[in-house]
Amino acid sequence: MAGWSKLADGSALDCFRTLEEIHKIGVSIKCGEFDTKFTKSFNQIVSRFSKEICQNNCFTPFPPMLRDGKPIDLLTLYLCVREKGGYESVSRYGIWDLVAKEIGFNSSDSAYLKVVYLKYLESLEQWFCKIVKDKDSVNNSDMNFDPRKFFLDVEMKDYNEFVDTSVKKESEVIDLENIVERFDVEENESSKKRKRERYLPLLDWVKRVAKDPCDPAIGIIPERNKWKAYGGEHVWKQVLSAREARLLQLDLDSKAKVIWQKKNHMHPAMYEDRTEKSTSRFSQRLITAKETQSIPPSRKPPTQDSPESSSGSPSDRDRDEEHSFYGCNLKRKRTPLGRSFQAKLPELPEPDYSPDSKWLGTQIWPLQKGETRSSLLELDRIGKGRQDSCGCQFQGSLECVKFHISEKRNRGKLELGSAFYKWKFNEMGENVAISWTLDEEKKFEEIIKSTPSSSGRSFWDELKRNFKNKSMRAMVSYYFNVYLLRRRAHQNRSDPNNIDSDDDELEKIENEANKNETGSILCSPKKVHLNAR
Amino acid sequence: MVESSSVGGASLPSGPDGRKRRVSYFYEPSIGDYYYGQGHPMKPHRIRMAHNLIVHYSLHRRMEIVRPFPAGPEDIRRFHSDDYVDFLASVTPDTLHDHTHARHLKRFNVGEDCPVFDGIFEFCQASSGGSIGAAVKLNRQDADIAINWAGGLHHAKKSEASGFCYVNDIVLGILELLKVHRRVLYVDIDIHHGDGVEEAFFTTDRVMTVSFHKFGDFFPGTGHIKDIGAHQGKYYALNVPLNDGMDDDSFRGLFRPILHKVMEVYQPDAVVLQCGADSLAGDRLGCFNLSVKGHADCLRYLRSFNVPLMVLGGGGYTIRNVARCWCYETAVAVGVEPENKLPYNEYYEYFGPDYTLHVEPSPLDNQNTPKDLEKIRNMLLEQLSRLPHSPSVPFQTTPPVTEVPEEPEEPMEKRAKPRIWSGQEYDSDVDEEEKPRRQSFNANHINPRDHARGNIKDEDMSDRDAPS
Repeated sequence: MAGWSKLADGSALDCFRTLEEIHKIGVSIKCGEFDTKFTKSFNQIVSRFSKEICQNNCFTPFPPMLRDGKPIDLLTLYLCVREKGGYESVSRYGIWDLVAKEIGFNSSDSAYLKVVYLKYLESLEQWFCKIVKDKDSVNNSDMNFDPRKFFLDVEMKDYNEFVDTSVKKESEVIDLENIVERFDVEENESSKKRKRERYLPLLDWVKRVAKDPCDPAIGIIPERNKWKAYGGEHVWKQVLSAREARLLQLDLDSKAKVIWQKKNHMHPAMYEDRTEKSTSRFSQRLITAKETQSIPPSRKPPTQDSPESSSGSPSDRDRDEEHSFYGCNLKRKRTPLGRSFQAKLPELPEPDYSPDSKWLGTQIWPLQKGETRSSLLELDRIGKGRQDSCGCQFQGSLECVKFHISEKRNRGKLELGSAFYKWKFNEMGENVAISWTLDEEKKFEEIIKSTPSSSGRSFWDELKRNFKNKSMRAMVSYYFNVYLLRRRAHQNRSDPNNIDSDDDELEKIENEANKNETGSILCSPKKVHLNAR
Repeated sequence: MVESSSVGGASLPSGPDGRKRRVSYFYEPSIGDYYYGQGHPMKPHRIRMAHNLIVHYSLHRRMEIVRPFPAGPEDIRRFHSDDYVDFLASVTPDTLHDHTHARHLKRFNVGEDCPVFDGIFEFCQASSGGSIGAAVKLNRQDADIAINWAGGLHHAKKSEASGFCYVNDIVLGILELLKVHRRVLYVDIDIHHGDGVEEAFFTTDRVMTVSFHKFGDFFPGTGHIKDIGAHQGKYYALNVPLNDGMDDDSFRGLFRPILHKVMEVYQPDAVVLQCGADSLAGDRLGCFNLSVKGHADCLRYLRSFNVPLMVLGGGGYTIRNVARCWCYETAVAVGVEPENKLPYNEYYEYFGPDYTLHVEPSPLDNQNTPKDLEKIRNMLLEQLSRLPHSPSVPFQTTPPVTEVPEEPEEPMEKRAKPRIWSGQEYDSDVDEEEKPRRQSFNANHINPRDHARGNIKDEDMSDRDAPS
């Protein structure tokens, strides 16, 4: 994975600069005598690049030679091809023989030169072009160019390929520790030249995170836009970049995706930060907002020696300032990508859209034509509320209200016809109590009152035990349509400043809130309990 | 209220006067009997209460009201994974601890927030049958507005229940809309982030998601302002992270300008509005401070564009206020201003001691400073300005679904600029005078996409380090 990271602290920059320089003075080198310094460093770059970036472990002789033993100077070949627009355009226009002639070979050798170029130089060319392009676009948007960023990108690609191979090799479910272990193995196999010690801190760190993400020793990961300050050396940065690149790539690379999905049923939440403490939350997606918040952007992780604070260019800081507001600096919880998360969209357009008519449902209103209503009924105006006053002796009393509800209900019944029953208006409100005896109602109330939710028992269990003849559905209906309504009627008259239609089990909720599960929708810690009506 | 009437959208005609909308309303009469369990704040009973108020205000006379056809497992599988649907369809409270189910509980996040209750699958079928039905009504142009208060369960994921939601009826509804419509706009004013819908359409530009929500130390934790979609869907997810105490003015000051811009650049063929009522003042789980009118203003504004509109429920845990809100919003949909004094109804006592439709918001501190709100607005408007106009399907291929006589169009620049509401008298009949209009962006926006896409790609490289 970290092929270029050993270069990242400076030599990578040098590499890039050498290449850049070579490009600048390329023409003169090509025409005149070769500067051996350039040839040598170029060959070094090529060799390193092909081994470490491309994971090319097969034998590649330096310098490459023709059948007759004539060496090919890679630098000359490279510059010649670049001058003609690069590998692609040379191939497209079929001018490899021209290239051969120009650098002193027979046109019959052109095919061989093409192979050599493809094998030794093509990936380097692409890489270089990408950097230059990116650099330009970055410069255009007035940012500081940091080539290390791009080395990191290359590194990530490399890492992805590695993960893919691991996936191909292994079919069991991967977890973070497995990756780490495989990483170990791969490390040993691939190149003995690499110094394993270099990656030990990284591996340790990943292991620690896997074991307990809340361990303070893991350090604090700053906001992404502060990353630049830490260079390419920080393990958390590498791991996080790897993780993100992997997630993105998971979706991009269809081939890899197929393999991934075939062989693994892994929840991508594996990549999410998570805490072992949150045992009560089943879903790993639901990382708590607390966790999310606990990472102040500017603190440095203690895992590595402090980097020189090279970042924070004034423009950066201004930008941050400009966009900083509540919520902006909180860490983001990423949306997972891939076939197991996004919906599959229908093709467009469906030439003759003919949906199943079942979706139109059963029309209940307006009433079917056959059904006639009393034409004598004077309808209430649409949107009409209740009258200011009535002729009742005690306006607003329970009896008064009951009377008017029943009056309104009967008017509705006349207007609605069959819809009244289809909408189950006969199962709404006080009407539900008709099928209950007074004794039953009394018992119902007593059971609820004698089973406070703080007792930890559910009053429904008690009710079920005591009302063998009633279905759960009937009891729930009674609870919402009669019991709560009566209690509210009482509240409205006895304690109008302290009403709540939803306090059936408030106590229980508060207990849950105290458990402080912010992963639960139930929890809103900052909530002020107001008696807003 | 010049601004709203001058802000047109791609519009459909809906009657000779262009103001009445044909409204279809889906109601499952048994919905109120489903019960999540003791202590659970989600109460389907609230939908029955809302329906009761709607009928007692006689709003049904302005609508077609249908009982939804329950969505079958195969319909639900259009979004959800097979094993998850199988699980939902077979689990009951009694079989909950059977071996086969027990091991699935964790995997599908069923248990705590999302308990297994009696009739759980029938409940999901009714909810999603309503939303798919609403989509079909709009697709067939049987209705201009389709309402399903049992829908809006925006947290459900492809293979996971979440936040009281099991089946994502919204995604299913939008998938149905996409069979006919090229671009669908999803707007979410629930206090919780609309994560399930955003995730389902995170990588497509055929659905744009816009969510206004409380962010920070709050469920579900997603919805950062910088989460903007990915791949093809980059810039097609919009998140408006807010703090406690959002009031009507602040909300409107964000909602209108942002949606104005969205309608202008995205030009959706259909709009889905999730009206989660937990953003109302005094909600048991929420911490915003919106009045019913402030909440309904979102619907009023979107309705004014005269684009096929699906209106769904969602959260809402102080049930008397949920019923108030959804009743009032139904009234807005049919173009009626109901009187404040509630008519007598079966659930009358729930609404005491005032027995009114509207309630005063609580004197809660608004922790969103004007400066923060301005920053959010500017950031999002800037993000929107990077959108290529109407992506995915170029405009010249627009099938002439409905031919509307072209009206002379005023250029976009001359229209009233979006602004923060200055606190004028609330005018509930904003769009009564409106005429249907169809904006012709065609001339200006033929193939602007390639150009704009190029720009976005370049910026893409740099915005990882700093938002530009």
